[in-house]
Amino acid sequence: MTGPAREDKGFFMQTRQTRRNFMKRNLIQSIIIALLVAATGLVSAPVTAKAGTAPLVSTEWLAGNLGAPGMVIIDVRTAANYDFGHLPGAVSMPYSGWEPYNRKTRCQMMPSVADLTATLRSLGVNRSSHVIVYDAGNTALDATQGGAAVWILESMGQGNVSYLDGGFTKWTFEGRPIDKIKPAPKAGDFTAKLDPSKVATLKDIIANLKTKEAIFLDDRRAVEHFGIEKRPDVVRYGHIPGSLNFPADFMTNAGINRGPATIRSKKELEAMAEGVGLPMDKNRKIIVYCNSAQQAGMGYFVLRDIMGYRNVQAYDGSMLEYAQDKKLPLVRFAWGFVTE
Amino acid sequence: MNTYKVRLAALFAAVILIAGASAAAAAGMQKLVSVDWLARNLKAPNVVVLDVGAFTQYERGHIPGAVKAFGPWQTMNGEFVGFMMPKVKDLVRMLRSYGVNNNSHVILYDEGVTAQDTAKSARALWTLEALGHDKVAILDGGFAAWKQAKKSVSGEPVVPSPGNFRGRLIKSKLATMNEVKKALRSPGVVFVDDRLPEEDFGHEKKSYIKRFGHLPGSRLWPADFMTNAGIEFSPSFMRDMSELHQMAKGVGIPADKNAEIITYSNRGLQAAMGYFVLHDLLGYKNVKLFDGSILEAAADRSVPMKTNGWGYKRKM
Repeated sequence: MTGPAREDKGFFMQTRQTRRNFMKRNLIQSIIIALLVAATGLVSAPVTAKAGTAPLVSTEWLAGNLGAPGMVIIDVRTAANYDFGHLPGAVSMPYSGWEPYNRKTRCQMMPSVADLTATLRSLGVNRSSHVIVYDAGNTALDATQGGAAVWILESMGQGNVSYLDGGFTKWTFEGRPIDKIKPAPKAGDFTAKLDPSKVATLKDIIANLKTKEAIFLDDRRAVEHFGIEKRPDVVRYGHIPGSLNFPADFMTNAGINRGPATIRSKKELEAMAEGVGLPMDKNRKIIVYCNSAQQAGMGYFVLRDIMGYRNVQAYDGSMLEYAQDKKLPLVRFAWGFVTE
Repeated sequence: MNTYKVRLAALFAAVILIAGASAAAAAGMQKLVSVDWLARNLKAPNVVVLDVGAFTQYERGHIPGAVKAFGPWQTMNGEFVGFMMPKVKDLVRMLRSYGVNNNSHVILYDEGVTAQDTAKSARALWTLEALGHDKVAILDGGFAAWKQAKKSVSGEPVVPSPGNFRGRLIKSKLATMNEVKKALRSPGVVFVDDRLPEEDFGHEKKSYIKRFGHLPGSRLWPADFMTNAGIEFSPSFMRDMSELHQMAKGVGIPADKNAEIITYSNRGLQAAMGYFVLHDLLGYKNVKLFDGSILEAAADRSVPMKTNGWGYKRKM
């Protein structure tokens, strides 16, 4: 399923390649990739992506497919970063626009259907588009921005979405071209439609506290899960009773040998899922949460699109919303995987 | 006298008894002393105050009468695989040079800023207890708390008159590599990992540690969680007893105070915090410190280490 990304051979080697070698290899790789993708399509249809796209694409793959018809590349870094230089042809939608402050819930939430429709149309996104999301790709936190954007796109009905592995950092480390040209896309026909099976609300959380139908998965750092630290704008310490803890920080290779924040291998992720206590049954319902749904969006992307868990929701309000209601239980000074 | 009054009187008596007993226990062997207590008892006979902080700190200012006790409390062992307890005779000589006698009431303190500082006092406390000297306590919050309380500070180095301390190693305090290997095969022994969660999970490691991960089945209780260091600029005060009790349960330590427990960390420093909290504050009777800790275990390929997961989880 992640054929293109698997080809990763280390970027330092690649920078030493001559341009010609590079292109030749790209051609061969494109063919291999095309065959691989076709093969995976035949053997097991990808869960989200339409035939022909992998949820995780490598920089090599993208370099070979820049400018492909129907492709929209969205840069989720800050506007300043985008202005300084971005992937050729990329449009800008900074992360602040994906999870703006919501007055009603008094925390960061995904945009309304109308807002997202308008924004994405202005960026040239059509119903038939293949959207590629990329982030700064330097730290684990950077990667969560791209991951959350993928979750929001999929939750709003855009099925054909891919995440660029390693983001802008890996792209530039490899000496690939960037430019300052801002494309002026033709307005798209994308229409957002919320898919509630991918987004959990506070109501769902409260219901699940009783039914325990879904497994709560906390994607924050372990210190936050245990209730030692918290974000200042989260009003209470601790985790939702019975949560498992799978920090989003563990899902990338960020910082290892100064490498970019590429997604860990599927084998490692499977081992981690077991190591944090997740069931091997990919049909079990899982509700992922964090502080603002940023890390949870990453958890959704990794669990659903990469590992193939079929029934994953991210809780949009997350701890910023949940902790506001003092009547709702929070457990402190314990690991959820021990006490529940 | 009606039965109601009798019952009330009995209840009253019981309350007094219990209160008396716990007060006596606290006075008998207080393992954590406050700044006020130390200020009052600084000149008490047999009180020996040891500053285990960095030696440069001592020169700048210390608690009046405190002896500079920089150590070494740990040294490289012969095989250079662990940062371990020095030879007993060297430790005895060192403690005598600090003026420690067998009847001394030793009070240890450190910089008191981070949990890592407190771990130095905990390591010294474990060393003394491992040599059979139980009359030892840690100053809660260390030098940072002392200064915050505006107690007097001295720059005068203290030259103690040599003590006559005699001690020998109490084997039940220390777990060797071989014992740990055996214990890993016995399901009854509880291992406690006192490092950071990221280190336990195998996501990060210190550069001097050879392998990622934790000893299989370990409970994770980071030493950093045990103090209030850094919370609203607080010195490294130990967390409340109620919180420590809650954490012990929350990380999966059995309720049975006779449970066999082995604490470990990277190099036996945070593990000493685990020992101090479990043994001296929470009253677990069979706590050992794995002296070589992960520094030694990771270098030995025959020791299993688990990555990509939390050590202990309940079956769901």
